[in-house]
Amino acid sequence: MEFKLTKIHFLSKKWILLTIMRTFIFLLCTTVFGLNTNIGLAQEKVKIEHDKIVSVDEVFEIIINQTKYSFLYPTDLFKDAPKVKLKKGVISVNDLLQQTLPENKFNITLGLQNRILIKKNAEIKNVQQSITGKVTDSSGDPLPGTTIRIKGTNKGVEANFDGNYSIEVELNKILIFSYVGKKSREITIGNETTIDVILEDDDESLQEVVIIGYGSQKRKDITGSVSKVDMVGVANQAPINIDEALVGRAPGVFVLPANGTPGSSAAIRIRGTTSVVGNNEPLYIIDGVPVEIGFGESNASFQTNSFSQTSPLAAINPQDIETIDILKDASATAIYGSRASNGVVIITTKTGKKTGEPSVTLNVKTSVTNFLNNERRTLNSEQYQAVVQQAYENVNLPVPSDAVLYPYGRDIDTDWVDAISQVGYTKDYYLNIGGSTKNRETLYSLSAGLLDQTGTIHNTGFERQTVRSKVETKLGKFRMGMNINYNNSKQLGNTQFYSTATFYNPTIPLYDENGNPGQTRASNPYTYTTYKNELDNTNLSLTLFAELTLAKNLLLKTSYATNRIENLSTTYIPSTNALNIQFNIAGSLNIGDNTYTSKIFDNTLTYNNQFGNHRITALIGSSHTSNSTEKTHTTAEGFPDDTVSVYPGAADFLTITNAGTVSGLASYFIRANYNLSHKYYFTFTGRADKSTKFGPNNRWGYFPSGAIAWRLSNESFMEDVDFVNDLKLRASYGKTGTANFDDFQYSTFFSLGNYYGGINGPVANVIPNPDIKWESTNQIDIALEYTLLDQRISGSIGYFNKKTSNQILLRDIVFETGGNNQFFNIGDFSNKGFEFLVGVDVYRDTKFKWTTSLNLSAIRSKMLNLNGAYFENLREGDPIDAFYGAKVVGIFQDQAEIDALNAASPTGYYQAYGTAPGDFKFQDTNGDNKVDITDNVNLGQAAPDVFGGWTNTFSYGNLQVSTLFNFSVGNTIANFGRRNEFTISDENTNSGPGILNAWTPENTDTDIPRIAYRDPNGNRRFSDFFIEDASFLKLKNINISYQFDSNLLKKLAISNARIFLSGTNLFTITSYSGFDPEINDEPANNFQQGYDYQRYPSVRTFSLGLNLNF
Amino acid sequence: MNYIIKNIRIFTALLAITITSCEVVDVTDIQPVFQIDEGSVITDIDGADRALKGVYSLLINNSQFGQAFVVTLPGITTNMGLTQKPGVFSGSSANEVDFFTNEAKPDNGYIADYYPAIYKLINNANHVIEKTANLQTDDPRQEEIIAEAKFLRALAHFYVLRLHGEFFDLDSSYGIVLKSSPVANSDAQPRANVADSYEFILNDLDDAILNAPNFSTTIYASKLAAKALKSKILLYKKEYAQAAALADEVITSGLRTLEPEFADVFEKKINNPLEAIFQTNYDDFNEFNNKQAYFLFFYQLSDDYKELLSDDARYDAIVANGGFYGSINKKFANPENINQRRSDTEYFLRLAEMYLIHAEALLRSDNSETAITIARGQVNTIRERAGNPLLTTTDRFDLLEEVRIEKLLELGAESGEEWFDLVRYHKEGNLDINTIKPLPSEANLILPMPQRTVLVSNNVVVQNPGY
Repeated sequence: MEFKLTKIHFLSKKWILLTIMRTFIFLLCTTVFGLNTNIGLAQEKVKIEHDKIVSVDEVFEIIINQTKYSFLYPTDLFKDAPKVKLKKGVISVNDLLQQTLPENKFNITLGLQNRILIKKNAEIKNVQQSITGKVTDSSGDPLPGTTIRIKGTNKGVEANFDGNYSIEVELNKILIFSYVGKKSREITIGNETTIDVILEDDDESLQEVVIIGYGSQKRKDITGSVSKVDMVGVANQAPINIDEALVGRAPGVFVLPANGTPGSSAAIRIRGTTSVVGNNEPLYIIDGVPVEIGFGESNASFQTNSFSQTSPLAAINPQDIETIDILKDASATAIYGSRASNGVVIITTKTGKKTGEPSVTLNVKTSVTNFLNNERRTLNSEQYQAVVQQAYENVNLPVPSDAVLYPYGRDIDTDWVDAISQVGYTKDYYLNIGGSTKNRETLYSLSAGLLDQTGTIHNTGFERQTVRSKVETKLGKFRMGMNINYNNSKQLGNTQFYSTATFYNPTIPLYDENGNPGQTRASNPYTYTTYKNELDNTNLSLTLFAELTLAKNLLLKTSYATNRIENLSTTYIPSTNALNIQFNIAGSLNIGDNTYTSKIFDNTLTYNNQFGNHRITALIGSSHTSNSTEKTHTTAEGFPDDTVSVYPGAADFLTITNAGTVSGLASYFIRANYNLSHKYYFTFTGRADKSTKFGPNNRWGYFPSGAIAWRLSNESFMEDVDFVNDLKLRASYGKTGTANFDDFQYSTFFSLGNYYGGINGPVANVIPNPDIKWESTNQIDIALEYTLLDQRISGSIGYFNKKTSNQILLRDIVFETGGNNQFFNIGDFSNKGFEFLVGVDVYRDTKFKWTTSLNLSAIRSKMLNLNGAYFENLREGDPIDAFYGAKVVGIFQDQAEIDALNAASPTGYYQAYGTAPGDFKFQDTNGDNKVDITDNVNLGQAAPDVFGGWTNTFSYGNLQVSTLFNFSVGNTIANFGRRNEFTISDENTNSGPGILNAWTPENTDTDIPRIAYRDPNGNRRFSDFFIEDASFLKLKNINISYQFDSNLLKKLAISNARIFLSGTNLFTITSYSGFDPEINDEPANNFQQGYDYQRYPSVRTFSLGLNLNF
Repeated sequence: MNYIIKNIRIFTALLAITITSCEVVDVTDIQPVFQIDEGSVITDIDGADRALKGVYSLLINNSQFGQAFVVTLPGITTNMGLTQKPGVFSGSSANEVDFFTNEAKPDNGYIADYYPAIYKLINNANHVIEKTANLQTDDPRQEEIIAEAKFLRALAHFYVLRLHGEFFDLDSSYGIVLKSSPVANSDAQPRANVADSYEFILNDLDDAILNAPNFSTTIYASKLAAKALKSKILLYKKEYAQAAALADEVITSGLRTLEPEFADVFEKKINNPLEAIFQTNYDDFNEFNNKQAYFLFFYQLSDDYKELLSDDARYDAIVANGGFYGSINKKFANPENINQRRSDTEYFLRLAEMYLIHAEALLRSDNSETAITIARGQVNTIRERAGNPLLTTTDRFDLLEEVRIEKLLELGAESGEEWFDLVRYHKEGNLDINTIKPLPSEANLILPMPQRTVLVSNNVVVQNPGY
């Protein structure tokens, strides 16, 4: 089987048949006609129309077309032969053949019927030539460690420290020079004995380098599951935060953006959820420094703080990022041991290039954002009044007077959503200067970024300033460097305004005639947007590293890093707020100050060598991490005014609470990679972690993993399979851990902050579990990686099975202990699934190119075993994010049915005291004649069954269009917007147009329940009425860019200029009735995944940007 | 490989450096922050005293919803006792309504909130008792601290017993789980029977009566408070003669006197109220407890209670019209000062109650006419202070009922004593509780044990009959 996509086969079908027959004859032929070929062939001439470069096969074609000759030779004889340069003019066949076929290599004979037979000349096959030379980069720097391999064999050598090499090779063989990050070169051996080679930088091959923990590896040598994120695609999306741009980028990585809040962080799940109590965000390694989202504390604490903390990811300017590698299986992640169960995301920022001169990048971008749907989705004043009227009448309550219901009169109609909305606007500037000193020993990269985002809701926004410097220098065998990353960001505005606006009373004016804000018992949402609500985040991370080449193959690296993050949240509710007026509170101020400090001291020793076909890389290392968090919360009330004297010292009442943790992690790790002939690969990784989170008996955790890979394509039996370029089968098994929950659960500790009689007393508040230990995840991973059809199709298909055992659950305990619950290692959880990735170079010619890539993941998660414990609404056999609720079986049409059900119920009522016709009838699942929480059933799950992304890049000349679609199948959302739209609780909550179709004795053919004041039946209870299928296909991003002509730019001293227009969240195909099926209002909460509270709906963004290089 | 062998020494040395570098940065030798290790929390009398204040602090702030002893327990028992009803913000919550209708289920959220909170106090008291006892000291405060902790432990156990145990039946096996030492693990412990429960509680109180400090302040336990509490518990235990004697001892001790004006009790709060024996402290800073707001939003005076008060002199001191919030309980949610002070106290024991305990215990233990006269006199002392006409009842059983009504009027909507009176009177055969408050069944005289504790303990902790 043979495909050719670029070349059009020059042989007709008939010709193929003929060739096959001829080949057959040739192979059987024992007699070679000993004619003087030169004489015969010299007589025939061919005409070359114009200068051209053609393949050997094509030369033969020319001869066939113009002469009586035909050719007979083994099919692949000239597969690797160099191309032939033909001059315009007339040339004899003999000369042409002499020119085409290298001397002494082939035996050419003229057979019967003018058939020219070509055979490989066996005699000269073994002529060995000794070649020496030097390999350097384009700037003349030697490239030590460059592999020089004889093509088609596994023989090869490596360049030494000075880039020199020496190799014995047969004539006409091809040498392949390859070096990480450089374009590989192939050179055919002729007569020369010295070959100096310059390898140029190659972005394409750069992508083949994968950053793994404490080192890097070539993609093809990887035994574990590592996804590399396409940073070009990410850059096209022009994201503000990096997490949002990971949507749909890698198989097995599920990213659910939070909502439209500027600066908000997404929930990222790599191969599903592994921990119930711990948080499930991956471990991030940013330039070698581990950053745990949620600061390594439990999910509960992550959740509580998530509104007063900015994600450390928001602190990174995406434009500073050079690569993102996502480590997924145990073999890849085990090097991070106890923190790796959720996968590891390695982010590497830009380093200066060895160009010997500075390169300046300036990126400017402006964006506009608006809500996905700007239509009014709430009732107008008149409709609202009718609904309120009905709500009272339906429960036989007197309708309160207008003065009570409509204090500002019936004529006002305020669209609160409109009142708080605006068009968002973002300005983003980025400047980078990078390069190296003239001697190329010192590399530097300095950058600064400025982002100013105005949200789609009034007074919300995100501001960020980033400054980064990365400098490293080399002194002989010693290399050292330093990274500094500083950023300050500010998130403005609370995220709850939108939903408040959707159900705020429309008969309240924005301002009354005196200019005071209109309000009911609660202030109006617009007023709320004007209150001070800021989250200020400062992040400073410093890394100092030194590397010493101890011997040829031995590298010692030591690094010290410190990371300090401070989150300062400030909210102030002034005395004019309606609630504060009711409680006579003269302003209330809340200040949360969370500081997180991490110090990491790493030492690694890497050994790298090759003995014949054996290649070994070994790493041993130690890592010492100390983390501490300190939280101070200040609540102050009662201020002399609402503007100037608003600080804790000016308050009448003041409460300060402190909390914090400190934990230490001492780790030792080893990793050994061995490969035999680039065919068989073995990797062993092990890490031992000692953590202070556990009691003295359980402090150590051991996390081993092993992997094997087999490159089938290097096997001899695959040599004839032409359409396969590369085929690798790999499998790994190993163990990783999770320990991101609260510290010191193993013993009784007392904490202060309990006052009585003016004295602060200590109180024991945790019920100790002396046996608490690591959660561990065992994971098996099997995958096939392929590159096919002249490298035009590549990808992987894989299966994984992750089982987390000893899962720490906050097990309920007997109340007589004085506590509610306690951490126990008790649960078993399973995640398994398939991952599929394919990338295709669909079409490529000089002008037009089209590449496409599709990734797809199917993950099944479930709680295997609770072992008698129970936690929240976790159920065996279901995933963590399952929704449990009542099932609506219809709407009661007559009282008799209700009476009958009530009579049969042991409690005297079937589902509620106040059930009446028009109310939902809920399912009595357990058949006990009454409806309560025990009748709740699984109504769906937040995580999808299948999800993925599909990218396409089309380029035509300088114009490029890229698109990203992402999709999700089988996920459901608890749509609280729907609850507000279709039901009403009291006179102060507005609803949506859907409620106008509510059940009435006249309108019985509806699935919307009756309108009833205070909802006596509990129609608003959590039921499948609010759970919706949220499968979707979304055009996540489209980017159109134009690269200016470089000749034109030269005059302006610009080396590169690109202008782009990018659109995000453009359209979605879904049956979900909310704004956006891609929503997660509580990304930090394991049990609140897939809840759409309409806090801040998703936004659509259009960006216009200009990238300049000098 | 040769290479490694050749350089094995260098290699080993490097390995050693790498590994031992942990000594330089021993990250695992750390102490927790903002927490004190169990072994170092009580090392001297000052520490013990401080830890004791920690136990007291659990009276005012110790549960998720807030204040079990100060808000939840009085709130639900006054609902059960029909003096209060659910407030405007509790209408949709079946949890609160269920107490008003005596239909609280084992999975009731309020029970799950206050019940462990009570035991949290007990556990902390146990830490103080055990660790203070271990101190080698001659300081007389050592015994006082232990005695105060025992008082608090007794109070807490008694609150559980009267809500969840068959306190009215000494032969019942449905007592409560008694905790006598700090919790070291989460193992379940079975319920003691009622007699043993009483014995355990009364032993603690005897120790407090013996060793607690003399009365000097209303916010800390004292000998006087221990006697008063013991008197009340003996009343529940039906040891009436002893209860009467102790109540009399408290009244005649002269350490406390009735506030001349009824309304002043709730005006003065913790500001030197003459008749408080033991109450919780509060301030608007660290001991802030929000009781006024809770009593404004979640509870309001019941119609029955307002009617009962309608021809009583105390009406104006107890009832206020809160408009939207319904009938406000002025004892704790006084609209005149609601906005200034949002914290409030819980009067665990005040002298007025001792008069009424004395009266009832006397009537039940002494058949003599003198007893009736004394008892009537005690009730009239309270009525007189309130500005009400005096009673002239001479019939023992009529007077017993009068005592109950007086308790309703004087102590209603306060700490829920009216509910336990109903149960006790019902059990003594003085009245049929169903004529006053129809109960779904006799089982509802006590609340169910929390579902969690029964389930998790695998029925080691048994559920109350009928639930």
